[in-house]
Amino acid sequence: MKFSVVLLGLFILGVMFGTAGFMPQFLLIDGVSMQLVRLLLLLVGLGMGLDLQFFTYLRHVNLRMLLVPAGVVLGSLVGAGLAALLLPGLSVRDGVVVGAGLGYYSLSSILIGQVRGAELGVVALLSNILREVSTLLLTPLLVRAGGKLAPVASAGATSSDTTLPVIQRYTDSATTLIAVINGLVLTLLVPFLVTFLLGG
Amino acid sequence: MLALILLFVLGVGLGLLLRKRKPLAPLVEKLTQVVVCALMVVLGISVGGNPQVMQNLGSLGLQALALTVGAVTGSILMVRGLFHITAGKPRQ
Repeated sequence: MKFSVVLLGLFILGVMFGTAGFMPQFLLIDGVSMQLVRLLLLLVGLGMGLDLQFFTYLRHVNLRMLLVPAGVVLGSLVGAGLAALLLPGLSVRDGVVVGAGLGYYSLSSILIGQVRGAELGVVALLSNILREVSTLLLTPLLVRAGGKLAPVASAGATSSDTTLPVIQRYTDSATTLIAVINGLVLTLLVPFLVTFLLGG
Repeated sequence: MLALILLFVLGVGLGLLLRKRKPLAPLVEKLTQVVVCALMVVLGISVGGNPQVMQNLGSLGLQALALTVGAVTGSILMVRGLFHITAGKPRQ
């Protein structure tokens, strides 16, 4: 959560730089930020490969548990696509790409902003931050209205880190294990989903 | 885009190979954070430097909200639906 605040602060700092007309020269050189995005994907993959915990948890996975991340992916893409249908100025594909962030806002907004421009990038950032924040705030309500798996579904890729404590507090240990596995699987899927949907 | 996916897969593969080297993980995490931080500033600059985006921040925020409501509602319903289909009854 602390890191989320730092990232948001840096984004706002960037916005202030941008509005003041301050554009560091090295960023304007074509492709420098794209090289950084490439490096980021390599590093994110490296981090996941190095994470011993990830594979320890994957041993606990059974097929039924995988219904949760499967449902989150399908539901997010369809739900965001349908929402985009109702919105002026947003194509269904735009909506689906933003939905594919699954709450992993740093990576998804960076990728989407890089490929599709600042406008959709900022929508992706806000939408996916909102997914994390609303899960943090609404989990007790979600559990009462939609059952124990509702906050796990709502959390998306964040259910194994930032939203895990609140899920653990308002559900049970079985759901907490599902939340960890759901978050790990979805975090692994986001880079594939977003880049694939942005155009192969 | 394919290059990005390949880089990610390459990273996972390299990570798996180097898993036994303990000190590498915190270093990679730190480096990742630094790159994410730099790119968040870049995203901010591209937003702030684009007057059209800045003027529409309000409506972009509403779009974001609508997409979140769609994605979250869709996820909750789809997870329930899948459990319902496979078990014959919704899970608590």
